[in-house]
Amino acid sequence: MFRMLFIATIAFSALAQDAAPARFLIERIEVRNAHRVSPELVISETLLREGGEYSEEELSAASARLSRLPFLVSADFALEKGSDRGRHVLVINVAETKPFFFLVDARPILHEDDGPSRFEYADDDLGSQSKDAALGFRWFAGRRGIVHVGVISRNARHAFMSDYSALAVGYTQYDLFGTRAFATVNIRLPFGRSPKGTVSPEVVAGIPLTTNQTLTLEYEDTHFRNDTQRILDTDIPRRDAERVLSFTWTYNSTNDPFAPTRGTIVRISPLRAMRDRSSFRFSGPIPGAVPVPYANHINGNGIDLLASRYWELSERNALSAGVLAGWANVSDESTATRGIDDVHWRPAYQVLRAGYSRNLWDGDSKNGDSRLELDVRVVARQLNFEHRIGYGQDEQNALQGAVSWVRRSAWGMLRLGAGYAWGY
Amino acid sequence: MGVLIRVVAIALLMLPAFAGAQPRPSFIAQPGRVVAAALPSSLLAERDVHRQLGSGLTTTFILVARQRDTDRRGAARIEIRFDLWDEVWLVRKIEFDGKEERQRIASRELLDTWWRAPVRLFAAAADRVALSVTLTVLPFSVAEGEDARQWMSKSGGVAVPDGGSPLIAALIGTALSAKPIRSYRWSADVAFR
Repeated sequence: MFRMLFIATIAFSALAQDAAPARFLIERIEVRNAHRVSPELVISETLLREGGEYSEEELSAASARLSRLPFLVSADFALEKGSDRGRHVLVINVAETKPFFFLVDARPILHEDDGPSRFEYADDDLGSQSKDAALGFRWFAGRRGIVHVGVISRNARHAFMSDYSALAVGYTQYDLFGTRAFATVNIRLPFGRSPKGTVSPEVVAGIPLTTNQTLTLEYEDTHFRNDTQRILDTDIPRRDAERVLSFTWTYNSTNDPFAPTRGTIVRISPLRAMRDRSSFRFSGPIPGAVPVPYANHINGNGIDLLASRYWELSERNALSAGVLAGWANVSDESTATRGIDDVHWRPAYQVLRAGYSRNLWDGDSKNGDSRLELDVRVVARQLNFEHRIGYGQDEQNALQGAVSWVRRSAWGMLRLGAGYAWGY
Repeated sequence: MGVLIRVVAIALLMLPAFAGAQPRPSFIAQPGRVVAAALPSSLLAERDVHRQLGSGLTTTFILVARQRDTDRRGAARIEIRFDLWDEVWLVRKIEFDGKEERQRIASRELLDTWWRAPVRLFAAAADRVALSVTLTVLPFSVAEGEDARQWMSKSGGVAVPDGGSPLIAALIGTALSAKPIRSYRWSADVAFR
């Protein structure tokens, strides 16, 4: 009788154990197929610790986090027996990206509204982790560092901030002081629209709160021009600089850094931008006028909100919807010449987006992705930048449609397409 | 030239074999107008699936049957995990109506036998039904976030095999973020006599 009871107890216990979500004691984490990236860096980015006990849900979240890293194409998890019963070795098989990387989003949108038709490039920061275009090389330095050299391009949504391209060289240190925090130092040299750009530093520091949440603090000090121009025997200092401080909270459960098909991304980012500009204007009609120096100082405060959700309807098809909105408070602190009227906390822009994407890739998904994307947006822009120092508060609303092809591979992300925007 | 012709001829002869290489289940008409799928063992031997089964983590198989030209659908979920220390296969099967089965299977041969047993995935409303069936293979368990049994208890144990059923959402695992390992698509015409 007791024996039967004992057997029944054991059987019940085994069944109960099977019904409960399994947890795994990870005594060691091993990274395989890592040729360039350091195993320590991969381990630190999982946010898992050797000696910890984890459920499959936690391991799945760690795997998804690794797959969002820009230098890994995929990361597969497997368990092996550890040194003793109940202990496991977590094996992470990674597929790395190439040292050369690119992030190109080339989607000209033809705008038809009251003014002349014009092309603008889509700035897709609704789903992507970064709104910057980039091209360059990446080397892994030490056990937790990455050096990168390249060209970046920033497309700012706020009217009081500048769009620019820059050459950049930088270093990122992961797992700072064993805290899982990271810091990047970039030295940039603006070019293109800012041919007189000088060395401009940027510092980014962040800390992951969970596998899906990250806090980031960023400071950019960008010098578009800093020289002296001699006009009619007068030395005129010409400066154009912008400092931006932003603090960002991000929740990201998507499955891809550039073309996600599942998950949610929410980003809230308060920021402060300070713009200084000194130049000259002529005091009267030419000839006879003399150059008179002036200086502008504009302070802009903004809050950006992004929320985007992706649904995978099937192996091939995915839907997405999102909202992007910003609020701004801008004041002109110039003493002599006020270029703009102050703007007290008001909506700066709103974008509503719906998207459909279809997988065109029949190969192994671990080797990348190829998708056709259809995108419809309602764009409302309340604040517009005029002549680099002034603001217009006239509204510009548009309905925008675009079709594009996106390819992610070990080399990077390429998005090519075209669109049309109807102003109303 | 002769060698080339022979190679081309052999390639043409082999073409149907390659074309038919994707594993295909048998679809079975069961009493109560229920459609079941008997999955082939060869599916477990597919390279990526085999590798995931050996990972010590759960491999999840999600079967979704959609009736063509309607929005009716049914789903079933199978989870398999090899316990590295006990060296047994822990399996779980949830059919379209929420019926759940858990087992500990001692060997790979017995796992193959269990795997081939029909999985009930759709209830038809007529004597003949045309289905599009997809099977998605996923790493990790999808059971922890939205457990099918919780949905069953919330819906009073009533499983409705249509497009709006929360049970189907639970079976499919809508909260999942993992990338599928493999997916398969089949068509089936099933007649009930």
